[in-house]
Amino acid sequence: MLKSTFNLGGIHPPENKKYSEGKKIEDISLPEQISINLNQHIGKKAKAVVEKKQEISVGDILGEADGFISALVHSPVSGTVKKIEQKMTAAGMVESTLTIDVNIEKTTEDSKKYETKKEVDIDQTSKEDLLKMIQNAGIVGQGGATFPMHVKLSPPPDKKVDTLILNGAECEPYLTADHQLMLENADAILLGVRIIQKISNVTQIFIGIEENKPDAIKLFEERISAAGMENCKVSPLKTKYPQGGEKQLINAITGREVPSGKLPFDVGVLVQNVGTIFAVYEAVFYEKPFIDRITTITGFVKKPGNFRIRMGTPFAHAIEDGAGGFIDEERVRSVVNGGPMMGKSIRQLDVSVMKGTSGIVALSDHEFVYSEEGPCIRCGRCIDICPMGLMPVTLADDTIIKNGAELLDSLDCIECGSCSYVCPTSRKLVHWIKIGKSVYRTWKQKEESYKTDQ
Amino acid sequence: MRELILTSAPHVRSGSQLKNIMYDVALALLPATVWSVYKFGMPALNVTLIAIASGLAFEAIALYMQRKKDIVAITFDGSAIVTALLLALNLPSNSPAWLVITGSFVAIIITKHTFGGLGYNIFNPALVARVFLLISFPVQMTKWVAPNGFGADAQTAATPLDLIKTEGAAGIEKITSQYTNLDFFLGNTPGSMGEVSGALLLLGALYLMIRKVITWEIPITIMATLFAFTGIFYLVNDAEYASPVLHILSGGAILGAFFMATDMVTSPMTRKGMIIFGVSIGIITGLIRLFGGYPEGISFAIIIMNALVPIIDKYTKVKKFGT
Amino acid sequence: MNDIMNGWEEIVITAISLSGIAFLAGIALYYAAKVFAVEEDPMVEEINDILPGANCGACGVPGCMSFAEKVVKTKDMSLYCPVGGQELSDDIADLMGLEAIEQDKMVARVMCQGGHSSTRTGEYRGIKTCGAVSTIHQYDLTCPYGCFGYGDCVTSCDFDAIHIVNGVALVDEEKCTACDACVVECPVNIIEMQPYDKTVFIACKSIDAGGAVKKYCDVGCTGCKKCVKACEHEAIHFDSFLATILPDKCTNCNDCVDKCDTDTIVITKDGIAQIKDKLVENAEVNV
Repeated sequence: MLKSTFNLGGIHPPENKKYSEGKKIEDISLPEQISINLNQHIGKKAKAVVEKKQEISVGDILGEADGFISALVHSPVSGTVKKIEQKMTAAGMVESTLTIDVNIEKTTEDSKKYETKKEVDIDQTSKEDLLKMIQNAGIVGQGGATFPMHVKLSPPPDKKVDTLILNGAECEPYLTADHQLMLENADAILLGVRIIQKISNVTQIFIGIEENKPDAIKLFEERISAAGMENCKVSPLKTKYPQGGEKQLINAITGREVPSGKLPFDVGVLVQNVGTIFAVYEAVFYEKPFIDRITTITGFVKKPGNFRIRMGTPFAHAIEDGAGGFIDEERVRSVVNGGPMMGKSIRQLDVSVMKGTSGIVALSDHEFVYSEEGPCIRCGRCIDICPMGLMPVTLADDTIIKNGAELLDSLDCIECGSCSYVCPTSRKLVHWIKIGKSVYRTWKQKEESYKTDQ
Repeated sequence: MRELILTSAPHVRSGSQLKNIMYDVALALLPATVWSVYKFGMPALNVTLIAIASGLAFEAIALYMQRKKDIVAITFDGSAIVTALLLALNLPSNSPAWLVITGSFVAIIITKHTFGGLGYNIFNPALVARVFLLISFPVQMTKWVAPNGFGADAQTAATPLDLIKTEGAAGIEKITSQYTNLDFFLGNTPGSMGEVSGALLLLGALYLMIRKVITWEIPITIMATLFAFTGIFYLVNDAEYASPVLHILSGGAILGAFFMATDMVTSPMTRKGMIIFGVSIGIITGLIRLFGGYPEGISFAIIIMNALVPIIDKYTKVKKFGT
Repeated sequence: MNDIMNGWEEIVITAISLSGIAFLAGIALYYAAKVFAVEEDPMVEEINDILPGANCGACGVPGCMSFAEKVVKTKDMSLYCPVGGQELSDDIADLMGLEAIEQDKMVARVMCQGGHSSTRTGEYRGIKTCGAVSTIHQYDLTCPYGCFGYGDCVTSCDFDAIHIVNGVALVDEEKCTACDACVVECPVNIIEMQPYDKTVFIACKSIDAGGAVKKYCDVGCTGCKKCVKACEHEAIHFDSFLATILPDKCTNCNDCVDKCDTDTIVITKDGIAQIKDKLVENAEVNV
């Protein structure tokens, strides 16, 4: 088995996946109240189309897309809209949020309509119809970036896409949701792949899976040959972080390098997370909108595992109901929305699961170690491991002195966190580079304004 | 439940922190230090202990003067101990206490803290201290002792490189008849405390490479360049010029190449830069040894190249992904 | 005697040759100055001399010399240097022989008095600057609109006019030159320019409903509208649970101040806004 990997940098953090690996996907019970915010995707926020006190059912549209680069927001429950207000989300931003009182019996009843599989012949259905189904389901990328899928599947006409890559790498430590999804729903995912193939007309399909998931690799190889999909194959990848980054994935599997500032379709590739493909399958075969997702709840919880959670479920409820609560509440120091390398730490547990919540990781004072920044000792480790070939130490130094002119390279940073991870003096390199991006943009704006002044 | 802590991503961190790196280096230097005590006796132990004690003291004083927080934690982060050990290994074993303390002062306070402390110094502290002492107190700094073992009387002797510099071809004759290459390697020649145990230093360096504290680029290129440079002259005239094997095994070559030049703060960060750094040091060392006024050149070579590190870093930028 | 005479020879030769070189260099420089002279309006120099020389950019042009050049080139008297103020505008107008335009002295005001009167959720650890916490959207200030208190504005001020007092930024209006530096720097846009003469303002930007505001801040605007009703000059604008005073209509009568239950409306005295915690004797000045 030829295992490929990307060509620059990379680190090997401890995987810590053993807590939730292999745990069958369980459903989390319905909470009494959910909070859906209208900005769970990249692009323009959705506009609310319901009012206070309105009765809604599962699958009703709560927010209309605002333009093309936007996504619909559907209701995951049946109940009453209690209020619409500005509220703090799990992403740390204050957004327009709908709080809905859940009618548990009605929701369970209404959800039954998504349990019957429809007869759909992918080959007979037109590309436009399939794309419409995806757009109407409000599907966004589930890998964490939350890019609206119908936009991704509609590249500009001059960009020809010939390769589809399924991102089954799941390189973040602790997270196992994608792995479990691949083990339990291989055929469904392959049907989803056929749908995407119909829409984007790709000639070859790769399913990238890291070698720490040998059962998924074997299963997919079997199911692909069983389904007779000739131009599709599994691409085993060396376990290295951040293998799941789309540029690194494209490089590892096809050898192509996405040029600086450009996107995957510029090298003819389309990358999709396996969870997103599964959502596409559900949208087409069950007419189900994007109202729930598979999330790993792990770390310092009693029963870590992989759970199907409806959007809007409060973190506290998900942790309590699904994972049995924290092992010791007093020792929990940080709860992260996403994976520990790139996720956002939350400040209160009443925030809700969003479309991009790939994991909920609770860290106790044993795993969570914080030190104040020390001086840079010029060891060069950050340069050695940067998967984008940047020099984080220099970018951070330039940010600190606000030298916008030298910060153009910061825009290429994918914020994977490898540099901060290896820094021996705990310098917050990723944070500095994020600040550097805005320092650069401010400087660029000023430069442009001076030019127009002349 | 306590307040949740908010931090920027990533929320986990590698286990290899500054303390681990510094104490690894100290550990790597330990075999050579112990050996030098075995070979030179109590005076060597005194020098080592005085160097460490005064190094830590000066570090604490400097931190206090800068009003830093956590003075104890920073003093014991290992960097002062490593500097002290390296300084000790550069001195003659019978150095008087005042010489060691002066060296410590120059290393810690002047070369490190006046430039801003850890991470901000341009020059290698132990080396600047050694050069300072060499130029200010040439007599004491060149009173090398023969390594006759623990308890033996101190007997001053010239190092092999001294002999080559002062007596030329006759000197080479003397050395090659008295010592074999193995003697150089195992530490049977007179010299500073660190010069005498090439084998143990290499062992320590190997440990550091396995622990990924240092990488091969700098030490191997220095050795290779020095070997090649002295080798060319040796091939031309093997009476006037000593063999390249002697050159890379004697003097501070091993200590300098594997422990001084690889000091993270004062060496380049990029791999390409490290190679340029190493090659340049090799050439300059060769030049000074063969044609300069001093018998040993690696200290000066490293310090000269330390000054050029920022510009080397600037012009050896890594190739970005997608370009 | 002979030796001394020989010595004098050397000195004389040296002196003559050096003087000769200096003389020739002087002549060369004189001609160079003539040949390479730049045509410049002497007025630009004159105006540049009376400018404050802070090069802060508040006037909208990069640097004082550029300001002088622009004024001379465009003869536009509305170009205003906030540091020099009206006095400077009058002086420039005199020099140019044109009419000065009257402009109000503006000052920066921080629309928040939260600081230690407001609650925190979570504990932020990391780079402690306002820009840093705002970039990653991880702040522990419960109020999503208020001042973080890490002092980016203080660092950006060239005139020592803004400080963090009891956890919130506070402007010294006597020193403030309205250069805009803090307004631009603040990532939550909580600093506004207002006329110095209007001494009343509402120090809050929270658009949350009253119940929510009360939970996280003692001095936040709850949207009760008592001030709107009290104002006889229709100078208070109300929108989304937040009242704002319109400087054009405000007469400094202070009727609204007494009516506000949460002490959100603040008066400035001697150029310092009398925010709630400022009145405390040992107010802690952090930055």
